[in-house]
Amino acid sequence: MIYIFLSLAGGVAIGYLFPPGEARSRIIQRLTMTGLFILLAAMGAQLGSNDKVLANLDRIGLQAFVLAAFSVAGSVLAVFAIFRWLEAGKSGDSRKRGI
Amino acid sequence: MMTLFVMGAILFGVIIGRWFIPEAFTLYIDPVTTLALCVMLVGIGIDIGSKRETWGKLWEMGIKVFLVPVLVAAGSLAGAAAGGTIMGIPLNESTAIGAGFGWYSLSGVLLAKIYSVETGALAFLTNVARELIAFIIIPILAARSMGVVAVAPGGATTMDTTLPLIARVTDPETAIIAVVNGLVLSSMVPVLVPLFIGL
Repeated sequence: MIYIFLSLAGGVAIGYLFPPGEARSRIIQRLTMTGLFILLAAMGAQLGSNDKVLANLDRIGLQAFVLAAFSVAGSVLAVFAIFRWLEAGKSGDSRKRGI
Repeated sequence: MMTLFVMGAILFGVIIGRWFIPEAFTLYIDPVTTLALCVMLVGIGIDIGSKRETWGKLWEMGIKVFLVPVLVAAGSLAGAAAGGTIMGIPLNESTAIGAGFGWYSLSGVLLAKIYSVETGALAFLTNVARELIAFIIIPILAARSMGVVAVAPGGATTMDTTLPLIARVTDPETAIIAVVNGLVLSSMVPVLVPLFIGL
C-alpha cells in the first residue's frame, strides 16, 4: 500500500515545484487516462469473469444506493448543523444564509 | 465524454474477461495494474499539486472554507458507516467506499486493485449514485437558500462535474468554495480510501 502514498506524494511534489505548462499538462493527462483505462478494464475483466458479482448485481445496486444516500445525507447534515451553529453564535438570524 | 470513456473501458474489460481471457491471466495482470496505478496516482498528484491558486484561496479565505470539506468528509464517513451497518457491510469497507466522496473511477479501481473486485464494484456504483443524487439535490438545497450547504452533496466532484450546476444555482462566492472543497476532498480520496480499507 505504501507505493500508493509514495506515487501520490511524489506527484504532488512535482506538480507544486514544477507546475506543468499546457503541453506537458496534456501529456500528463494522457498518461493518467491510460493508467485509468488499464485499471478500469482490469476491474471490468475481473467482474466479467466473476459470476458471483454478476449474479448479485441487484443486491449490489441496492447497497450502492443506500451507501450513497446515507453519505450525502451525512455530508449535508454535518455542514448544515455546524454552519447554523456558527451563525447562531454570531447573530440571531441564522436561517438567511449558510455562510 | 468522461462517462463514455469510463463505461467504455469497463465494458471492454468485461467482454475480455468474460470471453477471451484464460484463468491464469490474474497472475500476469498484477504488475501491469500496479504500474498503471502508480502512473495514474503520479498524474493525479501533479494535478493536485499544481493547483497553487486554488490552494492559495484556501489560506486566503480562512478556516471557515477549510471547514466545509472537513465536515463533508466526516458526514460522508459517518453516513456510509451507518448505511453499511444497516446493509450488513463491514465497517472498513463501508467507510472506504464512503471516502470515495463521489470520485467513482478512482475509488472503484483503487479498491478493486488493493482489496477485492466486489468491493471495487460496490465503491464504483455507490459513488456513481452519489454523483447522480448530488445533481438532483444541489438545486433543491440552493433553492432553499442554504448557502454553502448546497456544496455538500457533491463531495469531490464540486471542482469538476457538479461545478457548472453549483455555479448556476448558487452565488459566485459559493462556487469558489465549491472549487476549494472539491480540491481538498479530491486530495483526500487516494489517502483515505486505502487507510480505511486497512482498518
